[in-house]
Amino acid sequence: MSATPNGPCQPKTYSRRSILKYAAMGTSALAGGPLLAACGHGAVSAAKSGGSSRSTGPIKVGVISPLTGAWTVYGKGQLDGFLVAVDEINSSGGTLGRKWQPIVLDSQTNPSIIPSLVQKLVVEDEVDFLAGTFSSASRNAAAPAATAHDKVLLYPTFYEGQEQKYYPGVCNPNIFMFGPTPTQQAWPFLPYIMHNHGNNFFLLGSDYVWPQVTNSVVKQKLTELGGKVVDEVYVPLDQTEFSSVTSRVLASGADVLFLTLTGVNTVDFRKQFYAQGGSKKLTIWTVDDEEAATSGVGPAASAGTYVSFDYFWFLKNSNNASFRRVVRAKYPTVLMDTVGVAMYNAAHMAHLAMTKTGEVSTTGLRHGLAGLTFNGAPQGYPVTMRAIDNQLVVPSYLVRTRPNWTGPDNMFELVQENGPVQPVTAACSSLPLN
Amino acid sequence: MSVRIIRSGAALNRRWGQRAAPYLRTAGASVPFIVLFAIPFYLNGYAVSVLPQFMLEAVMGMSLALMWGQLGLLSFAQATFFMEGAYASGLFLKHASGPYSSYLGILIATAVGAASALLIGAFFFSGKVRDAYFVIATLAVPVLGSEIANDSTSVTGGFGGFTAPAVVFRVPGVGSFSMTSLVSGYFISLLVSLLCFAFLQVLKRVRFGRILVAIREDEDRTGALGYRTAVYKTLAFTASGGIAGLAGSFYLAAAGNIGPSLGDVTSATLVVIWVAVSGRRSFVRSFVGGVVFAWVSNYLNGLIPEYWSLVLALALVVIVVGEHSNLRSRLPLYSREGAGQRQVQPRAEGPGPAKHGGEESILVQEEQP
Amino acid sequence: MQIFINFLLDSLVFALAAVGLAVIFGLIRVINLAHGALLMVGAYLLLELERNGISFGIAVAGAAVGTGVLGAILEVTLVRYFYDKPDETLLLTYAIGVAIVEALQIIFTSNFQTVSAPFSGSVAIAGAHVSEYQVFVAICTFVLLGAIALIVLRTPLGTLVRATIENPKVASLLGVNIRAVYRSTFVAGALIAGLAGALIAPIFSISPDSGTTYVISSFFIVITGGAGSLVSGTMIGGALIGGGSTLIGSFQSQVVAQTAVYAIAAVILRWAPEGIARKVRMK
Repeated sequence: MSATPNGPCQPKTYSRRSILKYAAMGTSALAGGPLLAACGHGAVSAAKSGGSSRSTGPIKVGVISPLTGAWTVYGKGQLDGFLVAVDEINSSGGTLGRKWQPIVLDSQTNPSIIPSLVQKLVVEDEVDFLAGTFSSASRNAAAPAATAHDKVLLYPTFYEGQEQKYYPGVCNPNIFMFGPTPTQQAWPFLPYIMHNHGNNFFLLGSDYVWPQVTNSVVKQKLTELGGKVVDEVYVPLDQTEFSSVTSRVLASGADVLFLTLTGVNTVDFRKQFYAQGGSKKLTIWTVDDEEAATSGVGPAASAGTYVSFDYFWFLKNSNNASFRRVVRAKYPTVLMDTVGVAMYNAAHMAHLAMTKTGEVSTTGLRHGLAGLTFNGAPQGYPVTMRAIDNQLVVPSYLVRTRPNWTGPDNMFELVQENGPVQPVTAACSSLPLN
Repeated sequence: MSVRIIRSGAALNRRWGQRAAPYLRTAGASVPFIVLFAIPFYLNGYAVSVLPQFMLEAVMGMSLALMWGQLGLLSFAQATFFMEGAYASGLFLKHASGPYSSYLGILIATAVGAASALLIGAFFFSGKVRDAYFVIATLAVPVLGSEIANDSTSVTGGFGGFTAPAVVFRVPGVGSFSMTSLVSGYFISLLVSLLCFAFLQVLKRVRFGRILVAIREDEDRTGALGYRTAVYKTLAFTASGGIAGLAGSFYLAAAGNIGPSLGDVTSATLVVIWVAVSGRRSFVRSFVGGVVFAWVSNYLNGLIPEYWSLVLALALVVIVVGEHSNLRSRLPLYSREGAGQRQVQPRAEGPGPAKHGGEESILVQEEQP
Repeated sequence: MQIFINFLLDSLVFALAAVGLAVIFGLIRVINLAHGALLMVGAYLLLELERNGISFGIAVAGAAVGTGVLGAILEVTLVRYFYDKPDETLLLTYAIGVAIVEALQIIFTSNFQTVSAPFSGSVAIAGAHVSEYQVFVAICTFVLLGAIALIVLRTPLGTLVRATIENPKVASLLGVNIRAVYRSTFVAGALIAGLAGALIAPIFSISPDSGTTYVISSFFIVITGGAGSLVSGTMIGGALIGGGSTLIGSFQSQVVAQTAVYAIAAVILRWAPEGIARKVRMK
């Protein structure tokens, strides 16, 4: 439920009665004050309305990325992907004649500070819409404030899919998802992996919601296809020693180790698993280790591992070729990955949406994005924003890590390719969202 | 015997000129609250929408000042009590309905915060765990607290976070005040901060507070005078846990969404930093420090998102070193309290802990009565 | 067998990561929150030296010395003024830690890095899978702890350090240069942290922020084993915190393992605040 914008001078969320009360309490103090006077002075006299009131000047976009802390490595790619698109949009004249002005904030990999960051962007900087936040936790933390001020949030990360119980972080008409869900990222390749490497899966993930939900989704499909989960283990995000887990994996008799470990977890585990000789014993398939994480694992320990995503840096198509050129020219060292590309798509699709509806506003974005197809995606296929659940339809690739790779250019080789993959419809209570 | 302790606690009053100091200080302490009261009438929405969160976090800072400033024991557990309070009231309100359930939610949050602190405090203090050992022991609290909150996805929502249910306070004959609405949420948070401040200030002045100071200055002597210091320390910890839990329950409503990171080591360390920088001996300074710290971080973050934590870290080095060289005592703002505290006893020896042996050290403070 | 070997190797890795802190916190009581950052300085120095074609062994030594030099700079410019102020050293080392992490990020970017190790294979010992490199790390830990024991217990320098820390006033009356003893202890701690960081780099993730995860476990290792009991304390603490979670994690969920280990550590702190090593010795 989003707040409906009232008149420009009308207080939005609190009762008239409470204002009158404070007016009465503070009469003397406010003799010369602007209480209940014209708009725009005190918050008591006028709450800022959610709908943007500016129609000239730059289009302001609030971007929140983890630029310090544990997930900095993903945050840089995320931010730079967005900024590349903003440059492209601005150099071709902006949107509806207005240039974009990104306002960037660092989430410090700490969801608790996100609500105040969103409030700063929305209320003080008066941004027109928001993009970013990396983890589901930070998206969920951003959602209440974004919803209260009726702002759109473009969310880029591969994530667990939407379930009503996490509203307003998901199942929210204002939040659009540009990253793949497990039904797009993992389901298409289960038959290939099972056919070539065996039916017994060991599911290993970091201990939080994305691995847990991804594993339950994968387990469901796996059982349907006649496979079996032999064990399922979750490790705390700050665990660094994995020998007990390694032993459990090796003793389990699994054919395939399906990984949803993230960040530091995945690097520590895979280095140690390799050192203990585990990589030779079974097949590893990860749905987390994009270019950044795999480069942390290193060529020796990562060789032969399967990875599946909607985008890889090495993909050969004309969109990606020009995308790679621009990125390298502007950010020579950044590791661009699926999340950065999702931000790139998000910016371009927001531009198209506003151009289509002729409106720089929450309604303009929502109506414009619903059902919109973008042909310039570096993924190599057109991508489409579904109106029913704000979920992007993306292609899906299964790749294998090459031995002795030296960088993201030659890190992976393509194994299987699926054109646009429709995800399972989100489990929201009222559909369509838009 | 107790007379001596009270005297030593009130040592500042010894000279005639300082007799008026407590009253002046009380008047000075009310200034920040008056400023905060006035803000919504003059500033636009941003300040009003973020200050409630900052104020409530700062209340948690005051709960640390009770432990650290009064009792001399640094605790890394406050942020976790804060998080527990937020979860406790949120979970209760999700399942409870009724006109006054919001009030009950606060009570429950306070009780949960206090009870955890009581358990932890009783466990360690009864075993004579002291000083640096207590500090390290409390470091386990945020590690385990956030880990458990993160793992219990079905209860807390886990890593993905917990979204606040509506919190509405009904006052018969006056009306209903919702935490989610801008203005009433602001004034409720301010009122909570003021009440917690008043409570702590009273606690500091009564006999209980003076015994805490006596324990800080010399635990063994206080014990020898017949005070069961472990009981006093446990009670102080319980009170600080209760206040943190209480603040947490309002914070949930003000922030809209919380998660395990609210009570993890990073959050726990940040509180310690701002309380240390602003002055752990004074509740009002801890409070103002919390609000200012959050505000400055937020501002710097927007200005230089990639380098702001480096800037803050370097600023912290400068502050710690500056304080050491008595820079602060030369500034008029700090001269009254600061100079009195800091110019008392220059350390006799060169480097090396002032006290030695098995259990020294974190207790060493600059103020000597 | 596999579980026992895992237990042993993990205990030693955790002990290795904690020795530097055992020196700095255990001996001179500096609550060094920059410990994790110092580990990473060691790892990044190894990375940089290897990139310049220096072989692993020399690079590790270079990383240790480099971290020691950084420790010396920090000691001379900042830390030495605060030995008698534990709360201030805590704040100061926190700030130093953050500054180091941010500096590493500016110099090396935030991307994960990898270093190459001299051995990367695995061997089978009595049916158990054992990483050669982990065995190498375990041997290094033994050698390091042995060397520390020798220096502290058998050399005049060690006697000097022990005497000074036991009673600085008397030592100073006897003409000991206390300042120099504190300084060399701090520098030695930093050097050992850098060595540990370089040695564990091949089997752990290397990013500017990675070291922070070791800070708390290291404090618990030092304090449960017994601050001041450098060798036996660190080994016992490592076995409890590192080995313990491996042991429990072999049968239980990893979260239970971690929770249980810290709960046990809390109980030990409660009943034996001076640490297990001393408790045992006193009996």
